[in-house]
Amino acid sequence: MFYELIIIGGGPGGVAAGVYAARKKMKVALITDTFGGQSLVSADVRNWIGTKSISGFELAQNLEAHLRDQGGIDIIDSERVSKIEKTENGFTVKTESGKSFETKYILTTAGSRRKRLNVPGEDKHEGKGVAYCSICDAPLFGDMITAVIGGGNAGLEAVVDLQPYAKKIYLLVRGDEAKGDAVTLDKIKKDPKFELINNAQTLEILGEEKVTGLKYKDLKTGEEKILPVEGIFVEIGILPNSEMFGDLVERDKMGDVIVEHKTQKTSCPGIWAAGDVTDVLYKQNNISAGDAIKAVLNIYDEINKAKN
Amino acid sequence: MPIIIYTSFDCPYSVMAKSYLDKKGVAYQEYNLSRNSLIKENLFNHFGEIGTPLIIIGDEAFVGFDREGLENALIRLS
Repeated sequence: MFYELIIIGGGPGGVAAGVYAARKKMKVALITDTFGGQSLVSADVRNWIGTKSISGFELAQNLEAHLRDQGGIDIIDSERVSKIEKTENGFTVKTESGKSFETKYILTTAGSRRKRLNVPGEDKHEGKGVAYCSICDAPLFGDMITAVIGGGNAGLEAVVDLQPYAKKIYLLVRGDEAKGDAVTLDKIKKDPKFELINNAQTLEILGEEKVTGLKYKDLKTGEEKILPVEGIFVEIGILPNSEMFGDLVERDKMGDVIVEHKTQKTSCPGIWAAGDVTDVLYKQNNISAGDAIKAVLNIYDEINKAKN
Repeated sequence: MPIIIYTSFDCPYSVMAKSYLDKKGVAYQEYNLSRNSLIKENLFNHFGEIGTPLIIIGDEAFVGFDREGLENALIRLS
C-alpha cells in the first residue's frame, strides 16, 4: 500500500488530523504507540474545550473511539516510528518492530517525552524511590516524605496526586516561583504538609538500595542542602520526539521541529508537523489539535494541486 | 505458572497492561497496591523495585507497561 499521507502520533493532534484526513477521503494511515498523548497520565483535564472535566485516560479512550469511528483510515497501533527515509516518490516510515510503510506525505504529531534530571543517583534509583508518573505511583508513597522536582503544571499535578498519601511533600523549583497554574498553586500552598522551595537546583539523589535523600543547591546563597526524602517525582519538562527525522527537517536547539506556522510545513517538502514536537510557543492539547487540522487541510490542498 | 499484575488506582499503564494480557488471552491475578502498604514493602524487598504496573511472569518482573518485554516473556513461558 502506498499512502498519500501517514500521520505519526495518537495524541489530540494526530487524532484530529486522522479524523479530518479520513473525512477528506485521503489514502491515510495513522501510526501510534498509544492514544492520548501526554495527557494520558493526567488525573483531571479541565481545559479540553467542550468538556468540563475528564481524566487523561478517558480522553485517550474518546480520541481512539472517535478515530476508529471513521472509515477509510488504517490505524496501526502499538507501533513506534523509529526512522523516516526519503525515497524517490516520498518517504519510507520505519517502526521499532521492523515494519515499514511507504507514503507521499508525512504529518508528524509525535509529541514529546519527559526530561530526566541527569544527576548522580537518578538512574540507580529509578523504580526505587525515583518515579516519573505520579498518577500511577503516588499511592505507593503512603506516609512517606516526598519531593516533586519542577514547578510547571505537571509538577503541581504531581503534588496534588501525592496529597492524599504522602506525609510531607516538598516542591523544588529552579526559579523564584512555580510557573504552573496559579489557582492550583494557591490551593496546595494551604496544605500544611506542603513546602515550596524556590531557587533550588537538584544535585544528587542519595541512598543505597532505596532513596534516602535529595541534595540540592540553594541558587541564592550557593549553599548545598539535603532533604531526607524517600520518594522523588521528576517533572522538569519535555523533550520533542523528533529524532526519527535525523537531518531531514530543520530543528531548533531544543530539538523542536521548526514549522511555518501558517501551514505547519517543515523545511523538508512533503513533511508537515504539529503539536508539541514543533517549535509552537504554547504546548497545549487544543492547540495541537488545531495545528494538526491546519496541516491536513494544507496537505489536502497540495494533493489537489498535484492532481490538477 | 500464574501471572501476577500489581496495579494502582487511576494508572493508565496498569489498564493498558491488563488490556494487553486480556487480548493475548492470558489469565492473571491482580492486586491493587493502592490498598495495602504491607504488600508494597514485601514487593520492594522481593523485587528490589516498585512501580505500577508491576507484572510478574515466571521469575521475571516488569515495572511499567513494557509491551516488547512482556511479549518475549510470554513466549519464553509458553
